[in-house]
Amino acid sequence: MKLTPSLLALALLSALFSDTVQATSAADGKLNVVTTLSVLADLAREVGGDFVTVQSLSDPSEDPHFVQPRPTLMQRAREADVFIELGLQLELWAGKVIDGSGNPKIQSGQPGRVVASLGIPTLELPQQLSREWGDVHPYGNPHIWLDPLNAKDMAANIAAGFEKVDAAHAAEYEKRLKDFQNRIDVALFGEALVKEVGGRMLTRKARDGKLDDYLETHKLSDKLGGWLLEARPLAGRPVVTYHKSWIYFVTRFGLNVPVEIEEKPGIPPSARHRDAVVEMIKAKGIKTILEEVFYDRGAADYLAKAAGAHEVIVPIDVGPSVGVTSYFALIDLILGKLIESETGKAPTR
Amino acid sequence: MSPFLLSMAWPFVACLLLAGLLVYLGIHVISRKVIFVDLALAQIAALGSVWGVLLGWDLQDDPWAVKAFSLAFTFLGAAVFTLTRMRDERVPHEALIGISYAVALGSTILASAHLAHGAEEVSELLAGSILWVRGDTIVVTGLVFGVVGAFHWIFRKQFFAISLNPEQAERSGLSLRLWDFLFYVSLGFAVTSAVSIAGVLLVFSYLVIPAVVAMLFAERISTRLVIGWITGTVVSAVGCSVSYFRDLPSGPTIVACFGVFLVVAGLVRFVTASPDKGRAFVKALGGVLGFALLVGGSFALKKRDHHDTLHVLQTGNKAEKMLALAEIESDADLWERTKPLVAGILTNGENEVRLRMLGIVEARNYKAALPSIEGLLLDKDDAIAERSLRVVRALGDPRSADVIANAASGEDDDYLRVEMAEALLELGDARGVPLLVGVIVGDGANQARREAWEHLTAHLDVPVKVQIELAPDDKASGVPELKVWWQSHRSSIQPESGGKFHVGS
Repeated sequence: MKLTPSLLALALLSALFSDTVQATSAADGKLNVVTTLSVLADLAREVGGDFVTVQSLSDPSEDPHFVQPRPTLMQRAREADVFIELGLQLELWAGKVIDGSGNPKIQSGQPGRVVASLGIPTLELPQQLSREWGDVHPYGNPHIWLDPLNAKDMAANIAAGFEKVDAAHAAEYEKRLKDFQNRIDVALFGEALVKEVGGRMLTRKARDGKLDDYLETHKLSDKLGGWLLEARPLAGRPVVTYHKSWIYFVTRFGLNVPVEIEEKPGIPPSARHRDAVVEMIKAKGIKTILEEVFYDRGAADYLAKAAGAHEVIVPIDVGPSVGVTSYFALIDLILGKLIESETGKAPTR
Repeated sequence: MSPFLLSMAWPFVACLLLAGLLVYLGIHVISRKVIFVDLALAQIAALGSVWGVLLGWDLQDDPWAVKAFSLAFTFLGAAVFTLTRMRDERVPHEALIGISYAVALGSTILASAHLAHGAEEVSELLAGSILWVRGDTIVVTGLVFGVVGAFHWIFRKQFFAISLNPEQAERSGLSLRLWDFLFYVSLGFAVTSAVSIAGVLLVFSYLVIPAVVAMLFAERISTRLVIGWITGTVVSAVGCSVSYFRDLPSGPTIVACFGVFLVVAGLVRFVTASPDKGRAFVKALGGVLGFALLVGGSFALKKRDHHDTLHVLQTGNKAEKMLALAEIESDADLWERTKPLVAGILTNGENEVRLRMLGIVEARNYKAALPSIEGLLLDKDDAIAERSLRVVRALGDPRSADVIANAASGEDDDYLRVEMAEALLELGDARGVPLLVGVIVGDGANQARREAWEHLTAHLDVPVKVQIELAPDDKASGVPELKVWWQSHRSSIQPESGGKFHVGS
């Protein structure tokens, strides 16, 4: 066989491609898992352990609403055994990636397609039947993972997906799920309270907003530990946020958001709204402007100077590019920075 | 000061600054027929910033390094535009400018594809928001504009010569290439610093629209400048006020005002320049009315919002179903027609929809739904299981006892078992007692065992006393005694009236 230029070119091309293929395929019998958000990748690793290899299509330093479709994204989706998305129309780009991948295993309705938000109650549902104002998120606010209780349910959805696709290891996934859920309970409520009452009951009470009453009635208030104890100084504190992404977090930890900098999600604020925010910060004595790392800081800088508040710029996702190693570290970080901004000193851990 | 002045003062000053320099530069830009050169220069500057970021400089920490990159790229762009201005235009200059814009934009997207939050940074570079401008930014921009303005004032003869009449300028000994380059460099300076406070859209409008309005009415440069500045100032004032009082984003509002102003100016020019002014006026009026009719007529096409609640309840998304349920809750007629759908929704609906429906069933005391609610007692969602048990209890049908007892044997949550036991005891069914005893002597959470004990003693006098201490003592006393007592009395629990029980034979 003669080495013609075209053959050479072909060889070069295939060498190029084989490189990218090897980088993503799992040759060791592990489940190949691809997720949209990297927080989902973290939960998938918690549940899947050594039985899965997990890759996230987006980086925590990007706005998860907008991810540029690139050939490698489709490549990864093509080789996935399980594709995990959050749903609730957060990652509108995910549909394109899945269509483009042509992978039958991860199409809608297949066991390899996991919607992590399934069955989790959402807040801020649209209040009008007509779509006149073009609501961005018709299924409610999608940033559900910032409530640790929802992280447990998301992990459960992920585990259910793994168990369907890889039934041989179902018992392992179930065990790892229970362990993760228990660690969330302990981190949130404290070990003593989880032991005394049980995580399931505490979760129900916390979801109903009746945890404090319940603990009071049964004289268990002093048993509370974990993040909820840390967050006690934040109770009832108002904070200003940039985007409407914090409702689940503030609901769980007792803060409130009287106003967002963005008047409507994704649309720049008007002058009056800007002034209303400044007035609100001054009138309510708001100390903190909470913003994700990927948004423009111009508005937050302006408000911090004009009204005298601290900017707390934090990631809302897990990953090395934002220096957050796990879901637990993410909540630790956000909560710690908030407590420092509100009380002047960081929590001791 | 009024709140309007307080809040719009800085943006308005920024607008005046923009008008001051950009109207003047716009007259050059239009004379040279390089309308989109500012977009291209701004995009090339953005590419420079992204390049700097790619090389490791940080937008927040080293703003000056990034600015230097963006300026260097602007110089490069100026050089390109200078060299591509050909004497006999085989390819229109505008085409090359458009191509530069497209290539620069494409390269920016490419360069930022692998950047951490690249897409956001690109849009940030081009967006700018006049609303967030403060005094210090205005001072810096004013200085830059002042330098560029002074430079153009000193060399005004040369700049106008090459813009308005390049052939003659060259014949008189001016270097076209040098002055072209200086023009594009100074324009690049002005445009990049303007874009960073106002965004591409607004800068383009300030550059082009006042100059076009001025050209409609005047030939002389000085007159054009005056008309352009007046246009810029008036539109800035109107735009800022409309934006404030109608509560609209400032940049786009000002651009829209520019558009309206240009149309009005065009109509005025059409009428005044026409030989038969009366006819021209009627024509102009007709045009305006026709346009208004077209826009007004489109409102007839507004989508009508008439919905069938029951249809929405079956086919809508979660939010729509919740809204439909809210209507059903307050409308007795609607509720009557909803009844046949209740079972299906309780079985197949989303969790929140099922919870809401359970609430309505309870409020309406709709006992016919009991069979489907009983099916939910062991739902895998704890909230649904808990809620449906409450509804079963509230509906208080004695036939439910068997279902509850059945469900209790499959329930693995102690608290729910305690509640089921309580429901049974309330119905006068003794099967609740072994359930409670089971929880008390079991190895579940202390709190559940304590609650089970409280419920047990509320319904039955037990001759032993169980006490389960809080951790860290964690001691339980009386449990073995309860076990012994239960072994000998488990088959002789008898109901009394009022949910009470006694041990009898």
